[in-house]
Amino acid sequence: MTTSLKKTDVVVIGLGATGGVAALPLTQAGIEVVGLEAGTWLQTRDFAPDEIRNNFRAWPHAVQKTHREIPTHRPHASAPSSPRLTIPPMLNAVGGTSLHYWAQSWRLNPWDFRVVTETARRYGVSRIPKGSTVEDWPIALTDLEPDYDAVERELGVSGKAGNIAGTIDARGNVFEGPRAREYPMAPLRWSEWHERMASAARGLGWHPFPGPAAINTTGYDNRPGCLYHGYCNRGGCHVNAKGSTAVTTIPKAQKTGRLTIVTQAHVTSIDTDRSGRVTGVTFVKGRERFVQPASVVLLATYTYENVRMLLLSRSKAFPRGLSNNHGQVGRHYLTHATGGGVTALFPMNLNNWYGLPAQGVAVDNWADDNFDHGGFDFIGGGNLFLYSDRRPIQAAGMATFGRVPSWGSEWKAFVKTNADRWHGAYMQKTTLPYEDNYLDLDPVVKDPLGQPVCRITADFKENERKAAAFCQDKMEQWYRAAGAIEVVRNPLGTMGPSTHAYGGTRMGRNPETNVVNEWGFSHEVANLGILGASVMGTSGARNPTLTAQALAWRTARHLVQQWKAIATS
Amino acid sequence: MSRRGGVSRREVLKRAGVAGTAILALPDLGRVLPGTTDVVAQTRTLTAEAFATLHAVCARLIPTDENGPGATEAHAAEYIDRALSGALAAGRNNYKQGLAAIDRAAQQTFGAGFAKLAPPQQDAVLRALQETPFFTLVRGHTLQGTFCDPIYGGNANFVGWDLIGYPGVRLSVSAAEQNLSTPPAPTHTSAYDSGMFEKIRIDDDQS
Repeated sequence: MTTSLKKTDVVVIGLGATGGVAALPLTQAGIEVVGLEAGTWLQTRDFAPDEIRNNFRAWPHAVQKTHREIPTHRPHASAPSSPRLTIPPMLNAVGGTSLHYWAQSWRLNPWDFRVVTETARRYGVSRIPKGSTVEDWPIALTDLEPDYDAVERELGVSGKAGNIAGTIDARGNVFEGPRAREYPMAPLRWSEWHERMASAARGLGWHPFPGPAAINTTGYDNRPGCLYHGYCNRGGCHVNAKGSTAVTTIPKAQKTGRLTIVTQAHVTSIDTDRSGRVTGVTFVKGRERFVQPASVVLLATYTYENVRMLLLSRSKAFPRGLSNNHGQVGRHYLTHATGGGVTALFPMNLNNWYGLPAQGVAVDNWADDNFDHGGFDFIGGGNLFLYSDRRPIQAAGMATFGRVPSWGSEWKAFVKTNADRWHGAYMQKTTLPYEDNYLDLDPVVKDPLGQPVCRITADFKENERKAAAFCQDKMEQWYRAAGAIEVVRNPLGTMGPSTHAYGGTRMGRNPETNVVNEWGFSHEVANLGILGASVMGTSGARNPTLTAQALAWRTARHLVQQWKAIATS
Repeated sequence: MSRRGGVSRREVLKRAGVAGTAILALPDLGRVLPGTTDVVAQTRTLTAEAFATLHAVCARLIPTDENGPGATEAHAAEYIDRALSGALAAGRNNYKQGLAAIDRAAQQTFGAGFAKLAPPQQDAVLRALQETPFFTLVRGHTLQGTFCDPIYGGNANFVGWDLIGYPGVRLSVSAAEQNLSTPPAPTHTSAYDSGMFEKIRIDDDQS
């Protein structure tokens, strides 16, 4: 039996980092919103500084929808499936993964929006890697600037501007595109260790700067500043200094009285009528099935679930899945090349036991097109980021640099001395989309409701591997300059389930190669909007969340402005 | 001779696994397991024999030596045994088979169960197995049991955190406490001592 609920203006599927942002401009404009969230509310009491809970047992402990839908992965179409992850990349809760993410809140650089044009202009079109389906974005950084600015204010982002309306400030990122004004708050502090690394970078002629974060560094919006206690990596904040949507945009939207939140709602399909417009969504809560009719549907789960939900929502108008009559749903998938880090050993303690992954020194000299690629055989690059954060189990599991075995008395003596003397760099590298990297439905593996999970078919290509090796060279140079006595390079890893997953519902003007238009609405379904990094066609060399949130703000803003045309046409 | 003795002991242990306290009367087990009475009484998942093997394995991975307490004092094996009835329940069969394989290898090479071998012999057995998935699994769990928050039953008396110099759980850290020159003093508290956080239900912490 299915209960049909009262029709609403907009139903948002997923109240996480992007759905939780979009709800605010909509409700403030007088639009009624129903938010369907698979998880529950979590409170500061749920955010214990506990490594086992956060990092080993898929925090929090409640069994979640996302645990049962972990995508499968194979590197290419004729390869067997890789071993399935046991921990899902994302979290179900009001606020979603923005509760326990690192909160690094970057704007993309101008180049990331114009990879094709800029590469052709500077090096010739032959430098676009073979097989890549990369396109310019339909918008430029300048188009998105007001939306970046809005979400930086609403969430509370701390940082140091490097380019205010064209005036460069070397205390910030000198390579960033122009922004209208300074960050709402000063950046997270640096420790003596950060200063030491920054000084080494300056000695190399590079431009170190503090990374931006949706983390308060002072009281902001009635939330306190960061206490630097650690356990921020896959951990929620015990004082709400982290600007998750659960403590920022969602409560503000609730204050309008126009946001209804349904928790533990498992959406099974987006429903359409004969004309091909969406009419609402079907979801399961407990043992009951409901239909939530709506004038507009905003799909805001996560890259894998966005794609899966569309492919599962088949109808007469969309026999291959919703908004997939051009066969583009699932195409242009990519994950950040965040593997391939570098680990170093120093001859002194670093006192890195506290702090957080967003408290770091960044170098952008080797990212994007910030350096001349004329003499290289790849495009793009990476952001190098060094942060203070060390947990005890992780510390004891340190690399041994070939100096001792991995267990026994020799090993014990080694970790006793060196547990606080190693450091691992976080390096996010350009990844491009390719013809044969894609998402679809797994033919075998299903969730408990019998619906297939998402299947990833993707691997890093030559361009990504070359860019990664180049960044490792640069990182080794930096560590050595700071006095490291050992340096090892880690493997790049796979394109399996990732917290930085992009594409699958790419944004672009051409409906033959893209799922959504420049406003985030489907080319095929006028009243279906899609939010999240699944609309992004390039990765940039930095965390995706703020860009996904700015795009969500932009989509919501467009919906408000074009309400009649979108909701009733 | 020693082989026959091993088999005989195994039979005794097997019976003891069914009838709990009988095992405490075995003199050689007391030697194998320091502070054995509590330990064996609290075994939740593994048979006494399997636990004795696990305990001995953990003790070689992170030995008690001139650098102080190791996995034994941290109660790493107890942590694993407990977790195998909770969050790590899916690994129970791996442990049953993996520990049996270690004992078999010990029997084949040195003619006695792993727990009864001398440390150099135990190390030889482990070195031969150190590329196996089960060794990787046990090593990972031994690290967890030695360096976890003590609420999980491991890192007893903070011996793991003290070994690596982790200054402990704090809820607020000053700029001075993050500096190179002034590492703070250990707090020796669990995350849950403050009363600020919901205690997880450890034994049904399935994921």
